Amino acid sequence: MGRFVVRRIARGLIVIFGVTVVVFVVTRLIGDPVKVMLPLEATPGERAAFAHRLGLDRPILVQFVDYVGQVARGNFGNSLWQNRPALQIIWERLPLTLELVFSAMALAVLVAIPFGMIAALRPGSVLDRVMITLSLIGLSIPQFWLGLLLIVVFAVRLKVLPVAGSGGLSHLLLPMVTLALPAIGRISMVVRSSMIDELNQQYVQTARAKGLPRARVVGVHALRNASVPALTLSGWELIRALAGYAVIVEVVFSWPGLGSLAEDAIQRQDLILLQAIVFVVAIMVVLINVLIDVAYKLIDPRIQLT
Amino acid sequence: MSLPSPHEVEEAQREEVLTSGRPYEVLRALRGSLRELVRDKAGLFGVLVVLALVFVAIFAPWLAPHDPSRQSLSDRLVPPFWESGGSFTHVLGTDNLGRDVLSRIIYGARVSLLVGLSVVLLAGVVGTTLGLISGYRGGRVDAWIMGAVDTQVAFPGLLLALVILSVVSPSATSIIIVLALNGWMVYARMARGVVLSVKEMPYVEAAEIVGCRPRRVVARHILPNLASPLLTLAILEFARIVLAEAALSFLGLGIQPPQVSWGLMVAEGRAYIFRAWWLVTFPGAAIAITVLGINLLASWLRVAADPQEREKRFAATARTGSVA
Amino acid sequence: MSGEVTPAWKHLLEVEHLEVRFFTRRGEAQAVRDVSFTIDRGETLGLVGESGSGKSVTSLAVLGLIQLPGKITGGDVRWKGRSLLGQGGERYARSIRGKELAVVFQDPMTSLNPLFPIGTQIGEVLRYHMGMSKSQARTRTLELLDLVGISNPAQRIHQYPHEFSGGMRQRMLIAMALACEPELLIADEPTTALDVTIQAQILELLAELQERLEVAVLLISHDLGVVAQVCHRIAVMYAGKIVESGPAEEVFPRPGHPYTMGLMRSTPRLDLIQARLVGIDGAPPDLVRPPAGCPFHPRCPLAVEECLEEMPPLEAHGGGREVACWRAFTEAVGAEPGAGSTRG
Repeated sequence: MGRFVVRRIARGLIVIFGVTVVVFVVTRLIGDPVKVMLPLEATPGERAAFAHRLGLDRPILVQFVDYVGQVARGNFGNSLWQNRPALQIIWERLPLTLELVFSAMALAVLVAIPFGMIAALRPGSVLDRVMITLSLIGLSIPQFWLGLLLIVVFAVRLKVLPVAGSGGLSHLLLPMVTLALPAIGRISMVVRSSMIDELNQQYVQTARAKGLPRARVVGVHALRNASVPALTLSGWELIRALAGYAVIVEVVFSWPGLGSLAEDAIQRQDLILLQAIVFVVAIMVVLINVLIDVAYKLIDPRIQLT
Repeated sequence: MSLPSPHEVEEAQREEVLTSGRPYEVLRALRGSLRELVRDKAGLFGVLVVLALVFVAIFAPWLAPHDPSRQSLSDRLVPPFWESGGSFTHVLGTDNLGRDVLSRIIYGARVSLLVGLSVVLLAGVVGTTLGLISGYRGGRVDAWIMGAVDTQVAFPGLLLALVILSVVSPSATSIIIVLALNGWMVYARMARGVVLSVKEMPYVEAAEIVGCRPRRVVARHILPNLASPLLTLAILEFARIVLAEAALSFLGLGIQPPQVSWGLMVAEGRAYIFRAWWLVTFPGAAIAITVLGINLLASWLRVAADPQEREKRFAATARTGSVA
Repeated sequence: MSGEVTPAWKHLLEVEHLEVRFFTRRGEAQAVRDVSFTIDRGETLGLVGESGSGKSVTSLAVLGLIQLPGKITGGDVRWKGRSLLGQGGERYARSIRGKELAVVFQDPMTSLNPLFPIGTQIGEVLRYHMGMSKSQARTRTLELLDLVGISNPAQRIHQYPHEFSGGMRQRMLIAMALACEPELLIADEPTTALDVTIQAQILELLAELQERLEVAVLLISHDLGVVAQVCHRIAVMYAGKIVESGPAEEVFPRPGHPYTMGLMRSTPRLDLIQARLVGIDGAPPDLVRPPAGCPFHPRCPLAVEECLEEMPPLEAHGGGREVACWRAFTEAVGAEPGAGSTRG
């Protein structure tokens, strides 16, 4: 187990390294950071001075080695926009993003599992079809639009919830639902189809032949087996929310987390801050992946962690 | 038993039919089950939505009542016709620059279709080719390609796409390339899976023994088995791309004005959300209905192409039927 | 106990005119048609037939485990005189299932839940049906594993199914079935999925347990040899119908139905020197559109005009034997070993 975790983290480091390379190459080669970061009316002299200050006049490989060395020491440089360490800014915003993402995914799993299970009990029935249609609607609605509609209905018309920002549960509710809805659709579809598969397995027939109550056959025997793919997908949804959808939802609700910070960094062309955000997110993604793999082992004894 | 990677379960959901190796099943199903389609209202809805999208995109100049980019200061923020102050001149109202919302939605279909098709084609061709090579060659080539797939799959693309698009100047072309770079892996995985399952089949082994060239084996024996799962996958990916394009355009990193995109329309209407609800509602609804239609089409195809699924459906209706 | 109370019921299990259909897009498949039989205490009945003959469906129907697209469309199944079908019957069925009426399925590799330790899976029957505590269930589980010949049970109960071989798993399933000391054990092809050497061991175990625990057994098999070893009575199924039944020691030496004769010739036997194994020509009939008359007539070497027109009823032939054939006990010319179509 310990060795497995170490190996997984090592593999994760490769992913992080890959992400770093991509971000570095993209920002240095495809775009010209100087052009991106300085105003249009800057003089050539100012540009050269700026490039020199950031070390951009050195060969690209030297720059990269230097960058990796700095990052390894935990130094991501100063944000160009706020002129203070990028990591410091990120630490301030990170808790809010984690709060949003984890609460949304907890909601998604808690809703999706019973939803998918009930549908799987009678595949093809009216209830099942309604469930499928609702799930498809859920995963087809663009999140930015859903968020705006929710704001209009609950914050503007009904005035029961705040429009934007962060604070107590009342601020969390709308962005959480917005982030959770497509995940609910996707997870419940997977729970449904894997549940249908499991219910057709021979061991379920054995469990029924033992005279066990239906609740135990379905809710314990079949569900535990069906939860393996559900867990995979939920983990993947968590990662996707963290490294993508949170940006959209945070922007819509002005939720001051990492996502809206990334949006700000893009708007202000703060590439140093942006690089640091991507790096931090990549580390979290790798960690979550390791945790999911460990969770697998706890559910399924057949899995060999190597 | 080895660990499934995160992506695989999501793929497995699509794959119920994918690797079963039944050639031309989708096409056969299309021919055979038009009657069933009419009965399956959700599937019918999906087909109609997709047909409508294609129709509207192609004939936009003839269908749109106004020039989508013509501004008119006197006609700013006109509500839809059923609200007071609205009229049939602007059926779905106008935006803050007096542009006709309906016409802009009609033109927006073009961008969705263009981006969706281009990305699916680009990613599909690249991914499928790499997957075929990977599965057919095996060995070190396979290890390299699949290594690349795994590494890229391990990190979700939206954030990276944001970074790339923030550096290069955003446009339809750059968004297509970024989304294709982001989406080729699913095709590679699927193509490789099909190749591996088909390769072991006696008829393919027989073809190799009698000396068919590899290219011929792939073309005659493997591609047909790929047709049906590839089509279903491409349709699902299309839905995903339409959503992604809208999201990126909403964030200002995709389609740029004066071009029209539904996501961009929602972003532009956002500032007026309290005064002019229709600016956000209609383009957003266009995205939702389009994506829902494509998803319904895909799920109908999946059922239609799978005899077992059809059997299950039948059994479910037999339950309600009169059984002595 | 104050003297023997005569029970209100005659037979432990009564199956009467059972009819099971499967609803497919092609039409209704009549998987079981008008099947009747009884099993008494301590008795062993062998149900024999090819795959698709309806024998497994019959056992599932007895257990109340038929699921859509299948459905029991007629007849009755009674346990100790009380119906297991219909509204109240289903609840009754669940209360006896796993307790008085237990089953061992064909494939031990898939019949155990892969994610639970073996001890939990056996223990839950005891805890649910007998209301045992965790430690009581554990003690009893250890006994049971010992009974079915598993060494070192205290260690085994913590292991998972994938850590055992097929034969071991089948022993576990038998232990699970015997947990509540059932009165009838249904064994559905219990040895088919196992290696030949293991098959013999499992059969021996079943026979031994049957004698020791005086449990009635319904043994379902496509293999006449297996049935011959264990059973008092046999019933032969073809195309969803029982075509022949009777005491084993009568039927084996002198089969009355041409299908039974064919089955015997196609079964390798150790106690007979056979010139050749003879297969039965043709394929089992389509159950959606079964042939008119006797369902076996397209494959029957003895078929005459009558067989094409009318279904022969199951008729008594003395000595507890019943045969559904217009030409029962007729030895065909082509039925001699070596003649007819030969295979193998």
